[in-house]
Formats: sequence, structure tokens, C-alpha cells
Amino acid sequence: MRTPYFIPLLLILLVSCAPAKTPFTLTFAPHWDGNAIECTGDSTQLTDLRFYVSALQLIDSDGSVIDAELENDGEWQNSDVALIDLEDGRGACVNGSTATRAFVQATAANGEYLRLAFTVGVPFEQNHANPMSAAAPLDDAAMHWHWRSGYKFLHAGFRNADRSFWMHLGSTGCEGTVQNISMCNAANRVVVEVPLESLKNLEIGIDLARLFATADGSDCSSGPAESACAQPFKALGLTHQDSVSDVQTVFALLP
Amino acid sequence: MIKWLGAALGAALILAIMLLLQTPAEFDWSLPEDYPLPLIPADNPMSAAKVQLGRMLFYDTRLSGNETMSCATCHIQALAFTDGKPRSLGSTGATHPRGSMSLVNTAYASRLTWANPLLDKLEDQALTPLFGDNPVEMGLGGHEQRAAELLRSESSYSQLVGKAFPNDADPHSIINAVRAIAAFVRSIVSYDSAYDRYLSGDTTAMTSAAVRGMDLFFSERLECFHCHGGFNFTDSTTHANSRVDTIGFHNTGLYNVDENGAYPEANTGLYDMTGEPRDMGRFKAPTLRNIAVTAPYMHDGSLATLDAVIAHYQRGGRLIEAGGDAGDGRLSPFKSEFVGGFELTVSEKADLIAFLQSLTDQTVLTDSRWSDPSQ
Ligand code: HEC
Ligand code: HEC
Repeated sequence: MRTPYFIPLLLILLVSCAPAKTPFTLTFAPHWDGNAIECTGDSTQLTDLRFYVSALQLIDSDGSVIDAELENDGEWQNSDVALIDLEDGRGACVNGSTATRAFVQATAANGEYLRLAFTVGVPFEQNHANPMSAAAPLDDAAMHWHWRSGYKFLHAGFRNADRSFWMHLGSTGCEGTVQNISMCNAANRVVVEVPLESLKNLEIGIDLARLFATADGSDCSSGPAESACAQPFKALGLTHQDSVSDVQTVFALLP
Repeated sequence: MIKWLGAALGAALILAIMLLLQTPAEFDWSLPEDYPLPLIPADNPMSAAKVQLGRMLFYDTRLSGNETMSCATCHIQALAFTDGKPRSLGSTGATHPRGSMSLVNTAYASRLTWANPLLDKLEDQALTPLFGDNPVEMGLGGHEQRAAELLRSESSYSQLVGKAFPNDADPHSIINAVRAIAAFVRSIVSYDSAYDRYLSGDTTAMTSAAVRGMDLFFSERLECFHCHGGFNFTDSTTHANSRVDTIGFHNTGLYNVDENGAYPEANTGLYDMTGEPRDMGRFKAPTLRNIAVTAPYMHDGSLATLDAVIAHYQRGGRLIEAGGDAGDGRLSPFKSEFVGGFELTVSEKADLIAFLQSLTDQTVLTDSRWSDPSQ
């Protein structure tokens, strides 16, 4: 029997059609001292946890950085930034929303990756555009700071029998005017980098016991005069007044 | 031949009328001739329909999350659009760190609110009371659909919205509601105080005490005019003919809680925005128009009367003897050089107060153009 000439052709076609990209999912979960927490519960309760993720990147063994692509789903993520919402408006999450979203959906070129990095924050261009005409996920008025210009990158809060605290993180010290910001002296974007074994079952724990290790009583709205911001900023690898830090300790890849 | 000419003339007339109807009529500010026109953002031109729409929205409590509060709750016309409280209360009971401000002549403000270097447009400012959550003021966040629906379904609104935004395919949006509210606030202008009438030639408009007080106000001894200068009595003023925005933020020595000039943490003024140490306690000098009806005074309402405000300037900074905010503002390293303190007799003080009272404009406090349309 003669081998039909088109078989090798078919093979070539098949190989070239095989996906050169891998889709992957990055999931987030709120924790307190390593234990999962929710808006409801008996010991420590979440009071808020929402944040924007951008600049998702993978780093291979040569140290090359590959940008992952966010899938624009018209609701929770556009091609630059994704909104994560881990509060469901129940229990202690009094100012929350019922809708939740625990993951980022992305694709990356096939490769052997050793590390994963992302930023908690909105890229500068989108951060200072007019929020009233922004598309999802940047159309959530609750996540915007109209008087400072820009989005609140992170809302986080907890409460337990001993203490409670919440913080809103965003850029401060911005220059220009609301619709024409030229730069912000304290950008306050959090960079997270974690080691990686594969792109499967990627889950990041957010430990609020680390974020709010000693924070108590008042709250932190990222203002330079707010002394209560010093400890949570340090945990996020951010500088606040005299307190300097460069590595965050709140986000970690779960085993 | 005559027939043809008649037809051509007729057509030209109809065309001219159509063109006239197309271009929106100039908004009638009713300003005195020597008053400059305010600067208007290109994307939000003024029109009578838009201002009327904004007026209805300004007074509508359905623009708050729990439908209990409108802009007018904290901005009451009879009080020159302030609320009489030291610090404002939001719709869910949260206390604002600062007090409400007069909305009179904000059309001329180069910067808005007590200490924000970024806020220059009423359209942008309105978003904070509507959507802000720290503190919650109107708490509209999450209820945007309901508000847009109100514009569409209620006939008194839906018709006006079409007139106010004739070129929009879908004009029933929150962004247009905000534009209309901003246009209404922009229309609140004051030019009819005793002082204005005195300036325009009516020498009987001001009492002789008020005239003496005016001379004190504009004197190098008291220095008030350095910060509260110009037709709007604030150095943060701009208008259609000004070449540059003037923007001023000043520390008047109201606090000095740590002997290094610190203000209480909740209200550090410009410093909260910039993080620059030299900006500690710097606030906008508010307009002094209608100041007699806007007590209590200063950003946190911590001075109850005009008498107390003048005593503060006379001393060159406030002394707080006890409590968490104790400290001598006069010794603050951040205090403006224009707040040096001065001698003032009791009768001079009364004259200065009489002058401040002559800045009250009954028209702006009562005119139905700016009153609650449902009343
Ligand atoms: C809860 C009370 C409250 C409500 C409701 C409220 N305001 Fe205000 N307003 C304030 C306070 C307090 C300030 C000072 C804010 C600051 O310094 O941060 C202010 C300041 C302003 C200013 C700045 C004035 C100036 O001279 O710089 C404008 C303009 C204004 N408000 C407009 C509005 C509009 C429009 C609405 C409705 C959409 C509104 N406000 C609703 C309390 C309120
Ligand atoms: C260095 C600039 C400066 C000078 C000089 C100055 N002021 Fe002021 N004035 C301000 C600022 C800034 C505020 C707001 C301060 C605050 O809230 O902490 C203010 C507030 C006020 C208020 C209260 C306004 C309100 O709406 O609560 C009055 C009244 C006032 N000044 C009157 C005067 C008089 C009268 C003089 C002269 C004796 C004077 N000021 C001199 C800057 C100045």
C-alpha cells in the first residue's frame, strides 16, 4: 500500500497547530495565620478583600521575563488588569458586594518557568483616566479615589474579638490635576514574586495576620500622616514615611 | 422674477432660523458688567435646561444609597450652601473629618475643597460626595443603575435630560447627572452684597463701621487680603480672562500639637495629599463672601464665631492649652509669614466684623434660581 503523500503534510499541520500557549489560572484565598477565613465565622472575620492585579509575568531559568496575557472577559478583567473580589457582602463584610471572583485567567507562551510575578495595582495610564467612562473591571466606583485621582488598588480588612483594622491602598502624592496627573511620588503598587513548580493549581494565599500584624484601632487610607499605615505598608514591601521596606510578606504561593 | 426673489429670501430666512435654533443660546449669568465670566470646561457647556436639571438633582435625596441625603443636606441655601455643623455627617452616620464649604462662586475656584491640589473641576469634585466611602457621604456606589433609571423613567427628568444633552445618543447616564449638578453649582454666583453695591457706586450701601473695617481688612497691619484677596476673597481664584490660575494653601497656625508644627492626624491639610513636610497644615483660604452666615469656622469647625477667628489672627496663631490637640500655633515652624499677629482695639474688631457682615448677599441666599424646586 502506498502511503498517501498528504500524511506527512497532515503531521506538519498538526504539530504547528498544537498550542504554543498554555492557559493558566491564578487563584487567591484569604487566610489568617495560615487558616482560611471568610466574611462570616466565629474567630477572625474578613471585613473586606478586593484588589486589582496587573503585570502578570513568568520568569524562566535564564531569567527572561515573559508577559502573560490576561483574557479580556468584559467583566472581571481587561487585557491589562483584573479585579479580584474575595468578599461576598455577608457577615462582617458590610460594605461589600455579593459578586465574587477569586481568580485571574491568563495565557503564557509555553516554557519552563521558575518564578511568577504580578503587581497589585492598576497601571499608571488606566489609573488616572476618567473613571466615569472606564470599562470593566475599572468601572467599580467603590474601588476609586475620586479626590486623590486613581483607583484603590487594595481594600482589605478584618475583625476579631481582640482588634479590627482596614486599609485602602492607592497612589498618593500625585502631581497635576485629577484628569491630568503627571506622576505620583508614592505609587504604592505592590510587587509580588513567588517561586513556581508548574502552571497547574496555582493558588496564592493572602495572610491578613501578616498584613495587619500589629495594626489596631484606626485604619489606613494610605495618607502620609497616618501613622497606622506604617506596619501594613511594611508588610506590603512599601515605604511609608521613615519606615522603609522592599519585600512583601503577605502574598505567598500555597503548597 | 419678484416671485423667485421672495422664495429665495424665504428659504434664507428659514435657514437662518434653523441655524439659530441649532446653536444653544448663550447662558445668561446675569453678572454685573465688571465681573469676569467663569471658566467652563469644554465638555460641559452651560445651558438653562442643564442648570434646571442639575437643580432638581442637587435637591433629590434619591441620589443617595439609602435615599435620605442630597447635596443640599450639607449645602443649605440660607447658610450660603454650608450646613452649620463643625464637621459634616454622612448618610450612614459617619462623621466627615472636615466641615461643609460654601458653594457660592465655586465657578471661580482654581482648586476645590479644603486642601486638594488636584481637584480643579466641579464635575470631578461631585464624585467624592456621591461615591466616596471614607467617609460615606451620599453612598451612591452600587446604586448607579437605580439612579440612571430615575433619569429615564421619571417624566420630569427624562424630558429635561434630552434638552440638557441634545447631542447624546443615550443621555440618561450618571455622568450626565454629574455634569448637570456641576453646571447648577457653577451657576451659583454672588454679586449683590452691600460691599458689591458700595463698589459700584452706592456709597450708602455700607455702614461707616463696615467701611472702616474694610480699610482694616485691606491694611498691611492685618494682612487679611494677602490670602483672602480679589473679588472672591480667596487667592485660589481663576476665571475666563485670567492668564494663570492662582492657587494658595496656607498654614494659619491653628494647631501645633507636637511643637514641630503638626496638625491633628485626621486633618493635616495639603500634607495628606503630597507627603511633603512643608505642606503640614496648609489649607485653601476659603472665600469670605457670606461668611457671617457660615459659622462655625475653619476646616474642622473649631472656631465658633467670627470673633474667635479674629482673635486667632490677632494672636498670630491659636493657643490650645489642654487636651490631645494642646499646643501653641503661634510657634509653628510652618505658619505663614502673613499670620504674624497684630494689635486691634475692641472697636476696630467690631468694625472688621461689620465689614465681614457686609459681604452677605441676601440674593444668593434666597433667589429661587437656586432654591429647592419642589418647594
Ligand atoms: C455629607 C455632607 C455633604 C454632602 C452630602 C455633600 N457635600 Fe459637598 N462638601 C462637604 C464637605 C465636608 C466639604 C469639604 C470637603 C473636603 O475638604 O474634603 C464639601 C465641599 C464641597 C465643594 C468644594 C467647595 C469649595 O469651595 O472648594 C463642592 C463644590 C461641593 N462640596 C459640592 C457638593 C455636591 C455637588 C454635592 C452633591 C453631589 C455635595 N457637595 C454633597 C459636605 C457634603
Ligand atoms: C496666610 C493666609 C491668610 C491670612 C493672612 C488670613 N487668612 Fe483667613 N484663612 C486662611 C486659611 C488658609 C483659612 C482656612 C484655615 C483652616 O481651616 O485651617 C482661613 C480661614 C478664615 C476664616 C474662616 C473661613 C471659613 O469658611 O471657615 C475667616 C473668617 C478668615 N479666615 C478671616 C480672615 C481675616 C479677617 C484675616 C485678617 C485678619 C485673615 N483671614 C487672614 C488664610 C489666611
